[in-house]
Amino acid sequence: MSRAERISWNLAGIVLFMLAWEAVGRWLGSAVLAAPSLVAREYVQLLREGSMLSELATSLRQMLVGFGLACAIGMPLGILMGRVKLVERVMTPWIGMFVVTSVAALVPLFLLILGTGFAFRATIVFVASVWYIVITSYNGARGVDPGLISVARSFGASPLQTTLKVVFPAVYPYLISGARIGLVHAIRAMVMAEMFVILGYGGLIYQTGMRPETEPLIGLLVTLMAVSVAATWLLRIVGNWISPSYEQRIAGT
Amino acid sequence: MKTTRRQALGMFSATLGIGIGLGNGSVFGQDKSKRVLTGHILGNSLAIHIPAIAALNEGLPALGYAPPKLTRVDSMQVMTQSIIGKSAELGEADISSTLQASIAGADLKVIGLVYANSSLVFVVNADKVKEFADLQKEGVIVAVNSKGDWMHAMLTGPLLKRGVDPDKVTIVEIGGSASRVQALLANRVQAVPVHIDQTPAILAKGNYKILLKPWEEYKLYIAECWLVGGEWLKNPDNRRLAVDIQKATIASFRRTNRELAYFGNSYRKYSTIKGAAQMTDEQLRPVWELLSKTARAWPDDGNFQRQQFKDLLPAYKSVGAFSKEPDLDRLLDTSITEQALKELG
Amino acid sequence: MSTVRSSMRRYWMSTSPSDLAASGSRGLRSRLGAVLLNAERLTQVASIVAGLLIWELVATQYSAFILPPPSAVLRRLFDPAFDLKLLKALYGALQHMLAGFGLAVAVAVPLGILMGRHPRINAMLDPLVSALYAIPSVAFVPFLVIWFGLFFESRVALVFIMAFPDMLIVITAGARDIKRNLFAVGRSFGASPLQIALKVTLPAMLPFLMTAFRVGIARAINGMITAELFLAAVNLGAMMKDSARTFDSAGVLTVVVVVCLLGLTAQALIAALEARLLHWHHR
Repeated sequence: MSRAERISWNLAGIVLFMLAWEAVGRWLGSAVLAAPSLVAREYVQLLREGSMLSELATSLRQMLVGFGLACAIGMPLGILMGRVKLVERVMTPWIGMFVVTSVAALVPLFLLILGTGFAFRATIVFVASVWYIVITSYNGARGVDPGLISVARSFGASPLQTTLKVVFPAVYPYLISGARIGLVHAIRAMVMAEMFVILGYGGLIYQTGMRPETEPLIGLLVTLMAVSVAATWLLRIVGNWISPSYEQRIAGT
Repeated sequence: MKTTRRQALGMFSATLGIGIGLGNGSVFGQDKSKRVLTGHILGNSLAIHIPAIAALNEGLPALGYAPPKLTRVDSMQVMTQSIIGKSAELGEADISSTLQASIAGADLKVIGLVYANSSLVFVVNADKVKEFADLQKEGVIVAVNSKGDWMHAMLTGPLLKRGVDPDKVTIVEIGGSASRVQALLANRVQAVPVHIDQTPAILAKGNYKILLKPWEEYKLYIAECWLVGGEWLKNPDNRRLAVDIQKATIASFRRTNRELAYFGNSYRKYSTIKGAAQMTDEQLRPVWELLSKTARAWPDDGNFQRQQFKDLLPAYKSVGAFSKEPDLDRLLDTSITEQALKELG
Repeated sequence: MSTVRSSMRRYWMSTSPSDLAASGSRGLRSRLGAVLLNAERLTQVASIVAGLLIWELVATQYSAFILPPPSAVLRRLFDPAFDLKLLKALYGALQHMLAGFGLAVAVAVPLGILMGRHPRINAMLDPLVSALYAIPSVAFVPFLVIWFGLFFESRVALVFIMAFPDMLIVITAGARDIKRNLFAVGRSFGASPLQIALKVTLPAMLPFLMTAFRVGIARAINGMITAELFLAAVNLGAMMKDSARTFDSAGVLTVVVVVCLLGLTAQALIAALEARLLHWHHR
């Protein structure tokens, strides 16, 4: 299928979906499911009102701190696991455990320990995203060609130099990929934690959900979707820019 | 070339990190010489809260503090946890959650009351609920802020009195009285506790009625208190601030009781109810008279006494709130209010 | 038939369904398997024991509700009264988890295969799936309350919403990777369409279906506890909220541990099933 053909099918799907939604929305009424034409009008209002975007900015800022920490700790830890047998063995059972634990279940616990402030939300985001970043970096570091490393060693490179000049560039695509997976989980966790304590953007979703009409609620979800899509797209662009072969290399995993 | 790009990325993320850190850590544009109180207040401020909220926003600055940094928190359970987790210095807390936390060993102190008698009533969908016994029917859902909080306890007392088993009533949690109003109007729940000044708007929208008025069921129903951390209060500066909070609160109570105009002004400024800014003093007179005179919700002496807490314990016990007897001496610090009253004269 | 099998074996040895959500845990799991086989379990057990010991020691420095020690959780797990409550809650929780997961499987498998085999359908639905995936599932809770109320139906719906997109993505990718010549091989051996479906298509799909189930069950358990916390609090969610209400951190942590163990058990069950069904498929 050519690119043009694929895009036209994409558009056909979106248009069909919108038409179906419009029909169902008009039939059921806006108390149950607002039609997209009504949502569009409400959306302009939401943008003008400003509380949606200001809450979003605050929430995203807190999320980015948690996510940044997850990258800063998760990436080196993953690489270390991939390169050092002992670290790998010590960490794997813990990671297996944390990955299956739903973050939602941790929210009441962290709430008790950390309160509702910045520390709570950043921690939830951190815990939700760090393991995916660790696993992906670990998978990347594990696959580094041993030949390359022995060449580096034979040229008298120190372990640190080997890590920086050989392991790191080889793992790069995985780091970006891990960040992408982690970011999806970070955004999910942010909204979830905020809905639980009724604060920030998630809190806004919760409160809006209680209103009798659904237009503003759908508007909030659309914004969230746009943010999530834009964020992962941005990371892919960054990945490509830093390491142009990123896409091909990651496709092989 | 690649390295440069990576360096650029590194620099970019470092800048971003510092920017985020600064944005969260410091308070730009605040007067550094004056103490800024960080407080968590409940999601909605209604008539009953107005004197206390006005005290924080206007009373404290009048005593030489910077305007406080107030964040709204909808869930009362979460409010108490905020103070334990030190997310805020002062909380507008639910007495029930506070007692439970204290029993569990949390280092908390109550320094005063936000109001001394509740204005909260239970409004029901009259199509489905005609009397208390109807609450246990299939398909009738009662929303409270948090299970086991004072609203839940307030309902349980009258239920038991009428021989209705509270365990048969379906309870869900919805934080924030405005959200509960919406849920009632959308027929997602059939009974909600809301404040008295929220009721006219609901009653006008359909077949709704007030099922429970606490002043008909209870002699006095205290519900919300000013909550701080025990460690926090040991610091002399913080203790001074606590006394000033109580001074501001009680002064605001007194002025509210004397001047309808002061109440009206504060209401127009701080009430979260829709259309509050346009309400006239005369429109507010009935609710002011009810709360100030009939319910005596804003006592001139703060009315912060151990006995009131003791009187409420049976109601809280009925919702299974306590595993053991609370140590009121550990939780309540009445000396703050005593000092405030002495200074106010 | 043995020729078909061996050609498939060769195929699955050379490729595996690549997928964003699955790639991480896949690699880790196969690694885990190797570690177990090499009897290097000791380090892992030591790691867990050491971790718990450190935690226990650190916890003595804090009050019990700030940081509950692991021993408090163990004590709770050995308390018969607590266990009775726990079993009841688990029984209730598993009902909507399995119902939601079953529904997600019933929709994701045919739809995923359809999307994987027909590029045009895929091109039509792909943007919608991506959009759905981009919205955090829990944000749909207000809608679920409007459509399905606050109880069982709504919980099932949330489990479905959480498990469905992840599974669909894995299945679509897997179905796309099945090579066309597999069908040609079957036909040249004179197999009927039904035989092809049973002996060729299904076995070829099993590996990625198993991956999808493994991803899906983890999400379903996630959805199960999320629903119980965000809709009307019941079962495990109610236990957590009740414990949180009385500031009993050990109680909250115990339920977290149970949810984690449930997740590990479900993963192990699917791995066992996978090993039985795919004994010919070497990783």
